[in-house]
Amino acid sequence: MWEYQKHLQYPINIKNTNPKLAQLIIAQYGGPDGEMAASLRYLSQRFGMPYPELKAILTDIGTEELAHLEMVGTIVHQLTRNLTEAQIKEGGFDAYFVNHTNGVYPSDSSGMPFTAAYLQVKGDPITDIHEDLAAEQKARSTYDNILRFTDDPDVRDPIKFLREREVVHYQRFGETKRTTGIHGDITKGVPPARYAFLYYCTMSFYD
Amino acid sequence: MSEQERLMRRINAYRFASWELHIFLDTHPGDCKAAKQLEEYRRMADDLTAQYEAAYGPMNQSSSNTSRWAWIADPWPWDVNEGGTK
Repeated sequence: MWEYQKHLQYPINIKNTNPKLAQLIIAQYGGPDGEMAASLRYLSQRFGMPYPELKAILTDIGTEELAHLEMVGTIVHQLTRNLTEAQIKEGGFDAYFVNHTNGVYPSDSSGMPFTAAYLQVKGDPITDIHEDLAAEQKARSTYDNILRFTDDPDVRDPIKFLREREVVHYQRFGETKRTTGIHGDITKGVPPARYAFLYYCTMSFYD
Repeated sequence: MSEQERLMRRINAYRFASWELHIFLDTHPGDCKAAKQLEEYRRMADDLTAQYEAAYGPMNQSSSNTSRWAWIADPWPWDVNEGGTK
């Protein structure tokens, strides 16, 4: 069950429209490493998780991603509101406008519609958590790329907030590998010498 | 920044800090210090929310003084400036 709170997780107030930028940022709405894929991935992976820490973190981060989806939608909306016909044409927004007018449609920056093929639910805690760690870094890279394309502080500020959340989520997912259940799964059947190497690689990496 | 915006900023800061502690506790369930801090931040957010609602009207559906009709009122989060002004 979910309960909606009528406010954004982080304030957004964009004064200047920029349809070109909106078309890039929409990547994080319905693109391969976007917030919709993130939320669906975590909330779906929960059901196959055997350990309490993992059920909790996937529920909570999956929920926070919905709040981020709302933030990205808000940025796209505020960058494309009250456009004149000339601004639509000049901003290269006409192709999008024909299909969706001023609505926010889940697609990537080239117009490719959202698909569940962007995510995986493997039903194996080690496999799924590693996908989640990768997903957080891919989203972080996408936000880094978005930041290359704008000087507008009204846009950069919330995008930097979202970027930082990817880093925090990566950290939380990494910490689950220390919890009793999954740590046992990772090391199950691994020969002692290789275990030492694996232990070093996985554990110190996420510190 | 108006008085209303300042208050809203503080409420959101406490809410966000509470959330951060909440997900931290998911992977550190035995951390009593974090649990205590979470309780304190939640209390601060609740107190300030009560102050805000007394002065500027209802904030959320779950608030006791919110009617269904107040809930549907504009502005919604994607249209709104910080502090609830359009």
